[in-house]
Amino acid sequence: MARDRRPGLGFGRWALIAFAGAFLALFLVAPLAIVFEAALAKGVVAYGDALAAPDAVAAIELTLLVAAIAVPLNTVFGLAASWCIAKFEFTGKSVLTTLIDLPFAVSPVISGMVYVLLFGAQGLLAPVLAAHGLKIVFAVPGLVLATVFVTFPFVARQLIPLMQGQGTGEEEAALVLGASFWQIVRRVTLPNIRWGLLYGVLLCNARAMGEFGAVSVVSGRIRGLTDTMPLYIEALYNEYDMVGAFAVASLLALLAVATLVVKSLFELRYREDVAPLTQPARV
Amino acid sequence: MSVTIERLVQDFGQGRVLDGIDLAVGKGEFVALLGPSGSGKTSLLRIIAGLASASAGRLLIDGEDALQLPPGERRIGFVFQNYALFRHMRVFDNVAFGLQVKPWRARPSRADIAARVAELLDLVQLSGLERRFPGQLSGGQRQRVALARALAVDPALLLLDEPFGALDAGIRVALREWLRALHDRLGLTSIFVTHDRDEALALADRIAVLNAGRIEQVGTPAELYDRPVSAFTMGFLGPVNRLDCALRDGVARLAGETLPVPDSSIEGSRPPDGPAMAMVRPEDIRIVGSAEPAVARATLRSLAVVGGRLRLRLARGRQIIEMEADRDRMDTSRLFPGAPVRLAFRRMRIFPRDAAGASGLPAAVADDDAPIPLASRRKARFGS
Repeated sequence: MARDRRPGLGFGRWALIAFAGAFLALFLVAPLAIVFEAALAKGVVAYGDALAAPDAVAAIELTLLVAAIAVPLNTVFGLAASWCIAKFEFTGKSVLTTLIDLPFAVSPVISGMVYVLLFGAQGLLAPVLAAHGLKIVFAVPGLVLATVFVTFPFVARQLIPLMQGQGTGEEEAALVLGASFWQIVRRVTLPNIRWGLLYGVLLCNARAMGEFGAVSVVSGRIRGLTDTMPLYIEALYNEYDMVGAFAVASLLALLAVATLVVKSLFELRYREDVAPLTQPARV
Repeated sequence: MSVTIERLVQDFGQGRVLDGIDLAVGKGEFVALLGPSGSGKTSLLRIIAGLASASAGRLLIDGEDALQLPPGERRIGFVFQNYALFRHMRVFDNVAFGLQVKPWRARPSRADIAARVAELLDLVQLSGLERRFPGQLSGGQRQRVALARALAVDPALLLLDEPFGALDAGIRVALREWLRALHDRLGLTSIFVTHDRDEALALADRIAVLNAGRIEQVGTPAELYDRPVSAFTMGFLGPVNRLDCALRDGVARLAGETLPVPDSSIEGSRPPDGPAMAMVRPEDIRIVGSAEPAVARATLRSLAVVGGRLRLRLARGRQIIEMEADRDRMDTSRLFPGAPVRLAFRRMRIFPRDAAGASGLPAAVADDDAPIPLASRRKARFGS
C-alpha cells in the first residue's frame, strides 16, 4: 500500500491524530488507570485480601458460572439464527431479525423485570413453579435467564452481516461435491466465520460477565449467594469499601483488556490465512 | 452421460421462471443455454444440478429420474459464476474437497488424493500453486481451480454457469478454447450458461436459446444463425436491422417504399397479411446502382474501415440501418456522408410485428459488444 505523501496534509493529519489520541486518553485510558490506582491504593496485600474475601470469591465464581452457561447457549442460538437468516429465505425472516435486536432496544432493567413478573413470587408462572419446588428469581436460574436475554444479540449480530456477505455459493459447491450437512457446517461454514464467531463470543462473554441492570433486578442481592461481580462491586462501593470495590472491578477491566488483546492477536496471527477474496490478488 | 428434460416448470407463484422446457443433451455434447438475463437459463442449470427444485416436469440423467436425487449423487460437476472457491482452503484442499468428503469406505487414501490433485492441477496448468489461497490467484487461475475441483469427483456431466463472465476479454477467448479442447479430450458432457452469443457460437455443438422461461429454438450455431425461427432468436444471435413492412396478398413492401421485396430474398415462412417486421443482417445489405431495382432508399451517414470490412451507417427517415461489406468488393469512390444510396437485400426474414416488438432488444440493432465494458472494468481490480 503506497503511503500518502501529499504535502500540505501534514498539519491537519497530525492535529486529527493528536485529537483522537487525547480523546482516547481522557475517556478510555484514564478511567482504566484510575480503576487500578484505586484498587492498589492501600498496597498489594490489601488488594489480595479484597479478592480473597469469601463473598468476593463467591461473586467471581457465580459470574463465571453464569457466563459459562449463557455464552455457550447464545453461541449456539446465534449460530443457528444467523445461519437461518443469512442462508435461507423464509416468511417471518424480518420478524426474526427484529426479535434478535430486541434485547438491544429494551433497557436491561426492563428485561430483568420481565423475568420477575413471569417467574417471581407473584408472577404469572408462580403457581407452576411452586408446585414443582422450583426457584428461578433470586437464584442462579434467574441470573442465567436474564444474562442469556441481554447477551442474545452479540453472536448473531456479528455473524449475520458476515454470512450474508459470504453468500451461499461455497455451501452449494460443497453440496454438489457430495458433502453432507455436517461436513458443510464443519468444513465450509464454520471455518469461514471463525474469526467473526470468536469476536462475537468474546463480546458476548464480556457483556455476560459485566451485565448489571438485568441481573440486579432478578438477583435479590444476597451477598455470597446471588451477587455477581458487578453487583458485588456496587454493594462494596456503596459501603465506601473502595479497595474492595475497585479490586474486583480491576478483574472486570482486565477481562476487557484481555478480550481485546486476544482478538487482536488472532487477527494478526491468522490474517494471512483468511485473506478475503475482496483483496486485490497478487499474481 | 445423457440428459433429457421434459416439460420442466419452475413456478414461484409470481410468474413462471421456467415454462415447459424440453431439451435433450446427448453424450459428449457441449450445449450452451443462451439467453438474456431473466430468461431462466441459470434456473434451468441449477435444477439440473439439484440446487433448485422444479414445480413440474421430468429430468432424466442416463434415462433415470434424477429430480429426487440429492445434488451430491447426480455425478455432476458444477462451475459457479463466481467460482465459489472455499476461501479459507488452499488450492490443494479446494481441489481435494470432493474426494475428502466421501464416506470413508469410498474415500481414496491420502496418497491417492494427493496424486489425483496433482494430476488435476497439471491438467488445468496450475501445478506449483497448491499452497496458495483463492485470494492470491488471478481470475483466470481461480476459474481453473474451480474447474479442477469440479472434475475431481469424475463427473459425467459438467455444468458451467457463465464460466467466463468474470474474466478479462483477452483471457476469456483463450480460456474458452482451452475449455473446449479439455471437454473433447476428457470425453465430457457439458452444459454451460451464457448471455454472450459469441461465446455460445464459438464453443457449443448446439445452442438452446431461452427467452422468458421458454426455449425459443435449439440447433447448431449455423442452424440458428442461418435459419432462426423467431425474431427473438434472429435478434439475439447477431446484429440485425428491423424494418417496418406490410404484407398484402403475400407480397411484402417496406414501409414508405413502392417496390415490393423480391420473393427470392425472403427466407423462411411468411406471416399472414398485415403489418410485419422485416429483419435483415448488416452483411446481407447491398448498395445497388440505378439500373437495379432497389428495395429501400437511404442516405449515407458515416463509413468506417474495420480491418478488411467496411461498416456503414445509413439513415432511412429516423431509423439507422447498419450495413457491413467486404472492402475490396465495394467501390467507395462515390460514397460520402450525405450521399443517397439505393439498397437491396440478399436475404431477409419477415416476422409478425408483435413478436419482434416484444423481444426486449434495442429497436435498431442488437447490442454488439455489451459484455466487454464489464470485463475491462474488472481489469482494474485484478491487476496484471
